[in-house]
Amino acid sequence: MTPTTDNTLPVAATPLLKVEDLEMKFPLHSALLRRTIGWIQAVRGVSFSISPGESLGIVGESGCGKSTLAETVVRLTTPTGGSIVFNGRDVTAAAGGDLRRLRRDVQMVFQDPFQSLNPRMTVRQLIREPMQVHRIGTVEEQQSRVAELCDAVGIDRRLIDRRPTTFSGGQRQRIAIARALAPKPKLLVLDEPVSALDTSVQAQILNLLNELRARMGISYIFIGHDLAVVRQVCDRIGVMYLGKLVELGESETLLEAPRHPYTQTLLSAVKALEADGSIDLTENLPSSGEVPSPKNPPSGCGFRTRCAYATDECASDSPELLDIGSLQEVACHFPLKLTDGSSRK
Amino acid sequence: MLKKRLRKIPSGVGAGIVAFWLFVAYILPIFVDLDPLATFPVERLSPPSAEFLLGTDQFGRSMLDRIAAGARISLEVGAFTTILAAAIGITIGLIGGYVKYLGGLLMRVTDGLMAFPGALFAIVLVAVFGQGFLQIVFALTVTFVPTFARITYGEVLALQGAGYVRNAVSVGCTTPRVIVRHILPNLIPSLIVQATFVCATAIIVEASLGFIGAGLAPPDPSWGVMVSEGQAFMRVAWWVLVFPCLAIASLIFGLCLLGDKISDRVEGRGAKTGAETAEGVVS
Repeated sequence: MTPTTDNTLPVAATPLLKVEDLEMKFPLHSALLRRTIGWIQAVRGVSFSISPGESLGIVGESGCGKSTLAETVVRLTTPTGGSIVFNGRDVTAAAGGDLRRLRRDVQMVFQDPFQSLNPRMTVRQLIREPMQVHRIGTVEEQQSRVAELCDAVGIDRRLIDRRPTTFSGGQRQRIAIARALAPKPKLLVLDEPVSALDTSVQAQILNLLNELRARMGISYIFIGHDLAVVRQVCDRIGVMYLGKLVELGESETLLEAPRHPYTQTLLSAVKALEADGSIDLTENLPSSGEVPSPKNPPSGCGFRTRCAYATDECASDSPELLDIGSLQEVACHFPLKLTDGSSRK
Repeated sequence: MLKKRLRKIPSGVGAGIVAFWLFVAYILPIFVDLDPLATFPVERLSPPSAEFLLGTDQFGRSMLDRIAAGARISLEVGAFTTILAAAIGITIGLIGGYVKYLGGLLMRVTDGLMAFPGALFAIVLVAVFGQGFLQIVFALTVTFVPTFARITYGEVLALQGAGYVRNAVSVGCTTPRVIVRHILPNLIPSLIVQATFVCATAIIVEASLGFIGAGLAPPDPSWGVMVSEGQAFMRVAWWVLVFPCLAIASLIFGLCLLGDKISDRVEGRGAKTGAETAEGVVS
């Protein structure tokens, strides 16, 4: 297993989604003249790919750009750099009919089910709409699929003509999932789908997601800040820090033997909080220093300002995400050794 | 303070007053033969009696008949103005909110219109085209289009960031569908609130124009005209002045109460409203 220059892991011949050097920055305007005085670099060159049926988790602290990454992948925004190739088609700048075709195959589940469902539509209308929009099936077929989807996500068919306001958070998220599944997408992007829910409900939704993936063979991109949640759903996990992926690998390997100092920091936070049963990256981390602002990221490695192992090289050269064997990639000049006791369980 | 007192009024009162005037204007004439222009010279300026429940004016016309006919004028000015202004204003607001390069331009034009007093515009219009119902409705419509355009524009911009609108976009809805199915239905509550206040204001302006002689011409039983004429006989025949005044006050009070109650309902549901701006318009 020699290091390769290829930035992606060996995956199936044709990945479902291949994202390369994705970049998303937002201009900052001055108050008076609206001149561009700087940029918020939310996503600074992210590359990964997903095979059909695979589930990839993206974890990171709040503000690391993971939600922007999700919105860019589903093309709610157009990336300012890099490329997105879905099913062999470049959709980086897709518009019009191409974009609508992409929307059919890539659906999104949003974080807050209290915001993401139109309060003026019934459950039936909400679940049917994607099929109407993409002209899938006859009216009868659509109606029967609505009922099927209700069964699949565990919503009582008798409540189908109610509005989402009469449902609880967990039930609303089930409705949102049914809506996203309606056009039979190939990829589901889940942006923190359980973080607005109670812990007991979280487990139910996670089980549902696992069950649906096993049954329908869809791919997931699961954005989250809770490692315990993400590992329950994902085959692979990517750790994001300040707009970049710093480590990417098989869930269990990555959690057992992190190679990036940042991942290690996250996991030591986990150990400190293990009694809680939940690992929340929004809590203060034991590493020193503040998270640098995406307005003005540090030179070289983004993590060097908080990293205990940083050297001059880290300040001058930005480390690339490199394959280091065991299906793991890490972006660090000095990845932790596998024998490093502190990172082993 | 006043606001708190108003809150205590049961919610049916506003709707009741408006319903009363709708009854007087449209149902009553079906059963009772009302003629606001018929004169009874012998009976002129006679006080309220069994024959003339609200008395008669200086030409011996029945005040009851005139007030009922006046209710019709007021309600129709209010309704037509509101419907036209809402239709045009909402369209402008939606276009402005969705077509980026047009948005700024449309809103600046709207601001310009907003700065222009509606009553003044109506006077100019009447001076050019003569007195009449259509002139007044046209002038008032132009005056209130910006109100609806502004609210719609603001809400469209706010709703574009709303979770369910982004969800609709990500599902693959076309822009027209997002507007019609997801944005418009969620705008309607705040627009209804706005509509009741615009309606009330339109009625006041129409009455004011009648009062200063720039509205409907005297034989027409506009409430404003009646107040203006009644002034001269205030000392000898109070009913000629007082009843039209009461009519205007009660209808406006009813409409404002109704609007207030609707806006409370809407706020209770968690949606945003234009209630603050609406109060500004009325005051």
